[in-house]
Amino acid sequence: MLDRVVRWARKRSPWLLHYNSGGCNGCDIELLDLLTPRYDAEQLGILKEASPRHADLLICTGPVTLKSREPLLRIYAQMPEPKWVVALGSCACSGSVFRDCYHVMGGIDRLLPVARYIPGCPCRPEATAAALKDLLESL
Amino acid sequence: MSPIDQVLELLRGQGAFHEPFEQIAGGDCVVSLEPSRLLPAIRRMLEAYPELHLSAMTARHDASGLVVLYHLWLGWGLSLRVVVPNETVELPSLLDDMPAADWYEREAYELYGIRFSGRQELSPLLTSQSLGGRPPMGPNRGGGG
Amino acid sequence: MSQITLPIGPQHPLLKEPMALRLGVEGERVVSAEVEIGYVHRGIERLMQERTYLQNMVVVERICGICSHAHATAYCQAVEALLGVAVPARAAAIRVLFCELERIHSHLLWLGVLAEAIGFTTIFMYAWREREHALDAMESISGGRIAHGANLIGGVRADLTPDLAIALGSALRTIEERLGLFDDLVERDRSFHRRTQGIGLMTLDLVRAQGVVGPMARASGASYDVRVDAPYAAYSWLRPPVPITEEGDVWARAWVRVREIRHSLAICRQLIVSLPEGPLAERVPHRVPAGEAVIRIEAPRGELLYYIQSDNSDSPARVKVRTPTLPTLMALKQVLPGLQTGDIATVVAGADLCMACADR
Repeated sequence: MLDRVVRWARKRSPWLLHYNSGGCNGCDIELLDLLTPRYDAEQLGILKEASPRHADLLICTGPVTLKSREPLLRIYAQMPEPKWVVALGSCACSGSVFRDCYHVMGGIDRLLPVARYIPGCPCRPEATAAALKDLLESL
Repeated sequence: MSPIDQVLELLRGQGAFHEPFEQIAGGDCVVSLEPSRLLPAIRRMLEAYPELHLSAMTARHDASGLVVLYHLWLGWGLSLRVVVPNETVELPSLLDDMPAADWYEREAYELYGIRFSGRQELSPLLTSQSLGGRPPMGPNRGGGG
Repeated sequence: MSQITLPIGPQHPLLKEPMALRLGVEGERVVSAEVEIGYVHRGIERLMQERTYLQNMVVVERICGICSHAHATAYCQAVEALLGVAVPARAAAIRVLFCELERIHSHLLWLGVLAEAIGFTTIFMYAWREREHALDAMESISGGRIAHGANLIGGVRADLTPDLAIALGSALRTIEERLGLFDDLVERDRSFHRRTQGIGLMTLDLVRAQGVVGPMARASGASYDVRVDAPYAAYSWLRPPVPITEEGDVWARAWVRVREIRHSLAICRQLIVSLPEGPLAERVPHRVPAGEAVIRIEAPRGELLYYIQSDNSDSPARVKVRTPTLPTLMALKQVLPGLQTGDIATVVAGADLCMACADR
């Protein structure tokens, strides 16, 4: 599986921006885990990029809280086309256990067009890697 | 005199509290005070126990209105219970004497509408302005009680 | 020199979770700091008051992904206190096993984040590599790496079988062998010292005034550790040593946490050897009688307080959660002024903030 992704990634290296719009941090730390030795996603050519202006992929974790609405919209607006949004984790997909909270709008698709939904609570690194591979192949 | 008795003596010296202390689940002692006695009691306790630690403040509903519990730690747990009968009653702010109370007072105001006098304006700590400024856990908003 | 305002966040490479800082800066020096939180505020207390006690077991673990078991343990203890139920000794010990494995994973996570913030990417990689062993151990016992579901109201759901104990022992040994690298970093690495010693000073007076708890407080000379000062679960017979130092800088916070990892490993080993026999859970009544409970435990970041009021119904009337990051954030407003701008990242990373906990 990894060989195919490495070959594919050599054709295009997606720059990835992550934003947590209200999550518990579980998906965030599992995402960061992808960069660490056991999973080593950098070999896939995926780079974590700090600035929205250079990012291709926006990986969102957490439900959208009312306070995160504006920052999330701003980040998305700053990303140049073409761009894709990934909802990582059950909260980003649907709001999950927080769906009915007074300070939560729901999942990411309440605000942004989502290209890929990756459920999990939290989403473990292998699942994220597999889903990202799938997304990259389809782009 | 046991540590609890010493503190109760100290609190009695500040004016009567409402009932004998009760011990709740988990072991904390709870003592009820009038709002006007809160600040003198805290000040007196800080003199006697300079390491007095404010763990948290809980605001909640009660049959008698709103209640604020000040959860203190002085080697053992002591919660001071103060009743706020209606929204016009303000509690004295502890900010000058226990700066740790700052964000807990802001949160009590923001979520329950409880006001604290003698401090700068209580700006929202957690919530978005889009909530319209109504306390999401205040009366009739599902805050329990 | 004129002052400019430097807004940082809520999205910023320096911050792991969303929060906003507004720093007043003159030249290279911070002169004022405002902290704005709430980006991760979901409204969990009210949610828990609208769910049953059982449903809340799922919610409470998702307040924070890093200290998920700490929240689950504090919640269960509060409900059990209201029920008047004591968990069996074996369950109390397994809860502590998870508490300490979580402390190990949390501190290694933090060490990696701090290292990354000051340019020691290799240390980030090593710390997070060793952390995997702690996550593996929790997963092998409970089925979950992050949200474990290890607790039940009345005990625990998963057991440490003899096979799992052997694997756990091996994982602990691996982490311990590699701990020397982090000891060296703290004790002997001159560039680490240059970046962390004397930086981000927090006095004991500030700790007391702002109610700072946990390793942040113990790095400034405070001694409060709930495991020792108000023992709960198996801490009534386990006596963790509490590392305390007085320098009050970022270096001291690293010193305390690396030592705590070592002590946590020792506690886990002690638990493997002395795990009490007996059932995993106590039967509990269906209805939580009316009453109030206050529970404090020592989460990886410090004193975590749960207050629950029951009104004899299926749902708690009030759940209050006070997390240890809140007083750290309050103190940070006074620690940031005076810093060189180049040290902001070090101090913020060194504070081990958890916004999911703070905002709830």
